[in-house]
Amino acid sequence: MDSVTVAATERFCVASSKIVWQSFDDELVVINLESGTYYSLDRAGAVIWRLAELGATPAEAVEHVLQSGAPPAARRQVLEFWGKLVQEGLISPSADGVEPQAVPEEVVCTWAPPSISVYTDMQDLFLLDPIHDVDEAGWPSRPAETP
Amino acid sequence: MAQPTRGNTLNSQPGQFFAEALARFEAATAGVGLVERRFRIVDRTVRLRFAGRALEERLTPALEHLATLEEAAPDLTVCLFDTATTGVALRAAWDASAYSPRGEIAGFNTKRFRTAFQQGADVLLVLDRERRQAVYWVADAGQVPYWERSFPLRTAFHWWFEDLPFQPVHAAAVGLAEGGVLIAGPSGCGKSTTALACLESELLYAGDDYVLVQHAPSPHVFCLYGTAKLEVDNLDRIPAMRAFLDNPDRLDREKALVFLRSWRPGKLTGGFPIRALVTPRVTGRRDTVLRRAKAAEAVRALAPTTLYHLPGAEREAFAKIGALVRQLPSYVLEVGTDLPQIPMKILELLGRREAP
Repeated sequence: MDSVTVAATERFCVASSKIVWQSFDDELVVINLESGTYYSLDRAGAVIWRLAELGATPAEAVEHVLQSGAPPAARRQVLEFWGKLVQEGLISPSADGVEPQAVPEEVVCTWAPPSISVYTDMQDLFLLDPIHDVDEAGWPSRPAETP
Repeated sequence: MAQPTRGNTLNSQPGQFFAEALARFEAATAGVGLVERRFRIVDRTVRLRFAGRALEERLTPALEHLATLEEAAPDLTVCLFDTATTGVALRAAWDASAYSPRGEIAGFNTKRFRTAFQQGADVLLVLDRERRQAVYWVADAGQVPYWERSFPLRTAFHWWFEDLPFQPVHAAAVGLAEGGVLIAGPSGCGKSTTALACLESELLYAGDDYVLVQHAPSPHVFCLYGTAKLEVDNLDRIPAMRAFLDNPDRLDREKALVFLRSWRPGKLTGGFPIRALVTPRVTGRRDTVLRRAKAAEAVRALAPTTLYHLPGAEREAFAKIGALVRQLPSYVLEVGTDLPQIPMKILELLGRREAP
């Protein structure tokens, strides 16, 4: 799937409070609790995630990885990866006036093209039919389902 | 989206609903009587106050191994009633649009109050975190499904432990007094088969579906529920379980459910230090193989399924799971059909047997 094109000077943030993440060794695991999809980002992907989360623009992220020693091809790879994060609904443009946070020293990148693995096996559980009908006391009226 | 923001007083909408639910519970007990039970969970006392016997009979067998007669001041009180056996109704204070897929009620979750309706089991749970008091309501105690009986109050425990280094997780656990393994993974991955296969070894049993873990000061698992559930198709692999089933007449629509207290009481343990994380994979091959895995692999097996089941406090829960996983080696257990090999591999991992 092609990634979307992002405005290089726009600031972004994590798209929802229902998106949670934790880092482990050289991987970042991100869970979208609204969709049931979860993700694994490699080391370079985790750096780009961290920069987006801190409020960097895509252009600033490119600058950061180039200064870390990445080759010129990294510019396109960062922007494409940023677009994937947007496409998956994980990050979105932030409200005007949001100030970026300083990038901690530990956010460094031994460059390799960033990758993201998408896991959808939990989606069946997450995408229960929304409740439309309630009884006169306000409780959902539906047959029991197994968990 | 339910956000813990405003509404922390008893006069707020969530506070008023909590007070109303509590008043309805008291009205229910006035009609059918009060039954109180106490349970000890990680050195804390949980008091369950039932309106009548109907819910008490259905929900406490899974917790019986934790029962205490001590009259210590409770750290958590849960008031439980149903409408069918008490005649006392409870009305929702929201419309249909407030129900979220994972159970949270929009507008009724604040820093102080937690409110969720668990679809399927159809349980309404509301907690006042400040008073450490909860109300649990179902329309009909007779309709409580078998899975709710196998892990009652897991959401209440999840909320109760929000600020503490404890977390209920979707995992099994087996081990020895000095240490054991946490067996993580979504439904159908082989957790129960792995845990139940270990009953025929020296390994002790702390749960096959939901256990309580502690990440600090050191990894530890506690047994919450003295139950085991197994897909009916797998019963032939654990034939000794058949004679002790709680639901032998409902196996056409339910997993086989057994209470360890009646079947293998000596195998239940209160818990043990966790030495490793194990993710089972059913292979269909004869032999069981253990291989090292990356931490992220264990997290993907443990976190999404746990966070799906337990509404609210997701960020905190994920942080606790992360803190636990970072301290432990992770393995994949390729589960074979020769069941005795399963405990052997786990005992090898724990250093109790030499690898052949």
